[in-house]
Amino acid sequence: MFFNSFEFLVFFIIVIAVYFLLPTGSRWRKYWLLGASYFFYMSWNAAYAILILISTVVTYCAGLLLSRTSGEDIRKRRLIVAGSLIINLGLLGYFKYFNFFTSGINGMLSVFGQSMRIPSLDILLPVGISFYTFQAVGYTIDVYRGDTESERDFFKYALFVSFFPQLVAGPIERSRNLIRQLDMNNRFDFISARDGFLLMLWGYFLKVVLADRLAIFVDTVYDSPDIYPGLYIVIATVFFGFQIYCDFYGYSTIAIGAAQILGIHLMDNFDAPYLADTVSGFWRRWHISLTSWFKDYLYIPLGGNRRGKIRKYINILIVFLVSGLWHGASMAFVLWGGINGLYQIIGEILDPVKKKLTWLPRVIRTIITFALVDFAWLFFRAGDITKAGVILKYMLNPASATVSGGPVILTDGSVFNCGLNQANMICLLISLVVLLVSDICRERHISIRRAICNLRWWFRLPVLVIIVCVILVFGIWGSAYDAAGFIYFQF
Amino acid sequence: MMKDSTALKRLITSIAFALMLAAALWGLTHLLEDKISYREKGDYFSTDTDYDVIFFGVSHMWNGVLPMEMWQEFGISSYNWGYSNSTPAINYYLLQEVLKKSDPKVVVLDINGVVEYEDDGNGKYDRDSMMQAHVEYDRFPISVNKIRAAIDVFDDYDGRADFIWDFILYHNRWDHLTREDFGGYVRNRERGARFLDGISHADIAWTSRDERIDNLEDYTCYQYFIRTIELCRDRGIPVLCTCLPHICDAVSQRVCNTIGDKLVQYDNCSYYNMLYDDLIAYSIDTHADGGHVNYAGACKTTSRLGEYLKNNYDLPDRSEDPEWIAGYADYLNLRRETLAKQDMFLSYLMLLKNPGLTVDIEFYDENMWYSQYIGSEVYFAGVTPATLPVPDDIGERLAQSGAAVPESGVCAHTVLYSADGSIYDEAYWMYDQSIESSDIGDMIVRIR
Repeated sequence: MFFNSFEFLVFFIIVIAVYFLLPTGSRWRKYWLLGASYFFYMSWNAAYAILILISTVVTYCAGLLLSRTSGEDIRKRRLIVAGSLIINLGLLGYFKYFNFFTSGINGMLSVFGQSMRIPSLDILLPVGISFYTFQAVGYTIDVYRGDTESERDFFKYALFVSFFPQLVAGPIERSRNLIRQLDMNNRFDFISARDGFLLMLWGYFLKVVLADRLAIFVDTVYDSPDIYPGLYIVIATVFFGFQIYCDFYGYSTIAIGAAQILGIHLMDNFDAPYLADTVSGFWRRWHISLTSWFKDYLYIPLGGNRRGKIRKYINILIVFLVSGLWHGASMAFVLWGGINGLYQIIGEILDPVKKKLTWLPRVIRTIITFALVDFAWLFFRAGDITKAGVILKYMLNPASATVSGGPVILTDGSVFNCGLNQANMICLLISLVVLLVSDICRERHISIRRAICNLRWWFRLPVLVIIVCVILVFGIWGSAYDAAGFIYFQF
Repeated sequence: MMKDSTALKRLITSIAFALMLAAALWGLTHLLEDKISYREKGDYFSTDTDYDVIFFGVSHMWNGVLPMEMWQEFGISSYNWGYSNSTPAINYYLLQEVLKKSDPKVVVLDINGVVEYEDDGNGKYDRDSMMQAHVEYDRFPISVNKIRAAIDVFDDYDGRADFIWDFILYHNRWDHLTREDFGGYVRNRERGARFLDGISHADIAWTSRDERIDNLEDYTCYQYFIRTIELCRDRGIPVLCTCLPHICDAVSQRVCNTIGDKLVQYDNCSYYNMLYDDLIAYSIDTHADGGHVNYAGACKTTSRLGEYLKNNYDLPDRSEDPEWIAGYADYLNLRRETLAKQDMFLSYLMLLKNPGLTVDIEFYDENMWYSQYIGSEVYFAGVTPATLPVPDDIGERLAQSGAAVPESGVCAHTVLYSADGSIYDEAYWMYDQSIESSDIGDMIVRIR
């Protein structure tokens, strides 16, 4: 049940209607949201709900055990945390990385002339397992550190792990932010619900008007780099940078908006990342919930920047390699993470030089940052290193392809043969300008949502109607299009 | 008090928003929907005509029975709801929509389609031809029956949703809207039917008339066919089931042979198998697609069916109905426009049947008389051609006509005159040696 499906809209309307009809603070509200969350998850694969349940029970019990263990009994507390981590990460490892590691081991065995092979398994990746596992594991560590109290109400805790708006693609919430909001004693707040509705609209615009339209062009080019070489690939790679941003930012925004209608505030996941003028700045603004998770639960425990520069660089590299692996069980994702890690290390090393370059206009620095980040996206989109190599070859050496990939494609109309005709390309460019304006407003702390809400009702209502109609008419959805799923669902 | 007024204000603005959104979506739905439904079947809704006979069926009905010709010959007011792949399951629900507007004295069902779809689309529709079902369904306003039809007939979720609200299917048409989308669409001038120009020389492979099809009752579409008959029985409407002539395969012939026995039990139902009437000359009365009858075949079928209806049912004579008279004038315009577009001589001759114009044909080549097809079409059209030697001034006349070929090879000259004596269409015809054909008639093409 994707957010951009009719089923979800019906499901969501029923969920909020029943939720607010149930008495404020009643435990039935909790049961209702929990049931709805499991129903939402089981609409993909009912059997895999057992994995969330296992993760929930394990981390819930670990939390209780930690709360009953005195702070001085460090060994026992560490054993509890280790047990929780081993079970949760073990499930994640089995379902997501088993075949990746076995193929790696088999490769090594063949290098050493061994004929033995570990068989690969036919495993279907459970949707959102990386997200809810990290959220549940984060809770165990928080309780261990004393950053949060252990939750005694099992159903409330189960709802924290499985809360449907952010269950399958985040934001990866922190227990101290979300659990306390699950007391279910909030009344329907019109202003908050309206704000949530506007957030959802913005999320849908990003997803169905922008991301899925960009995907048509990107998929066409990346599926046939020999037919669309050179500038086609450059444009497609730039487009993919925006596609993944709009796709994931769109999903997160819909999730945040949906939760807000229910009176629950989730953390922001994006903060105009492509306006960053350094790669490290980009990562402070991109997928904030995951980046901060890695910072809190991996980078700092590894020593962070407290153990000298070399160790800091190694820690950065480890975090980004793990982050790459978190995104996908493929060396291409690891390479993508490694490239981003290297950017940051080089950025740190060149810090004195960068300080002398402050005379460069920010727009230039922003474009350079975007180019660096976008180059790394090429590996992410390719999905495997061999394909990334092929794409790079055709991008840098278009003469090896059968057709021209030179600047002429911009003037002779060839660029409109990649799935998007001229009208759709114009629609896309206008939408990207809207996104850019929105990000600039965000950067300058100007809230477009508030501006819309502050309009007089006779002007506000038509504006809202036009926004909905624009999304419905120009969106890539319905049977006329093969609407794309959310990219981050695969993680 | 203050709180109550705020809540009321918010409630009112929310309702206003919902109403404005609904109005905007209603407008967008109409603007963006594909107007083919309006072109093909829109005329059914745009007039208050009483239709005494309504035809249902697949494309053989759509292309094979021409209400305008039937009215012109017998004064019968009828409408053709046939369409490509309009299966009995689709027709069952379609009839219920149609009966909301009409009170027909006879419903005519073509039996084609009762077994063909069993291995596809839930046994109820052609999965590869969903757009064809839209042509018939889209023009109907949303109703309980339409929702039931969508849920029952179509077995994939997207397909159902598209039928209930076609905006889901058509919202991507924003980048190719035309004048037609703003209300300028051309209505069907054939009362739902669509005659085919073009001629093939196909033939039919006959099977024994004793062959039957087993377990007909098990076929899903047959069950809907029977439900349609029962629905008519409940409404007191007689049903005439027919097997229309077309290039049909062995299975269809077996169905034709079998179904008559099955229908005996229904008091309101008669069966008229036209397949064995020796009505159609399959070598010239069929369209190039190889399956359907062309205009000549449709005229023959329509005439025979009209005669049967006139003789067996109490149908009022609507020949003086001004609405039909005006409609027939429109139909003749369509016929003439189609005639003027013809590039193939045989097809042109076929369409000369009663177009409401005076026709002069000059044949310049005696070889043309040896073509059996030319003779057949001339006979069908009821035209008496003048046979002349090639005139001396042919070069000059060609130059005046603007024809872009030299005079040599011109073998025929046709002129259509309007009632006021002005020339409606003039054409020169020549042999095209690049066309491989066993008959000279096929090689004659128009000089453009």
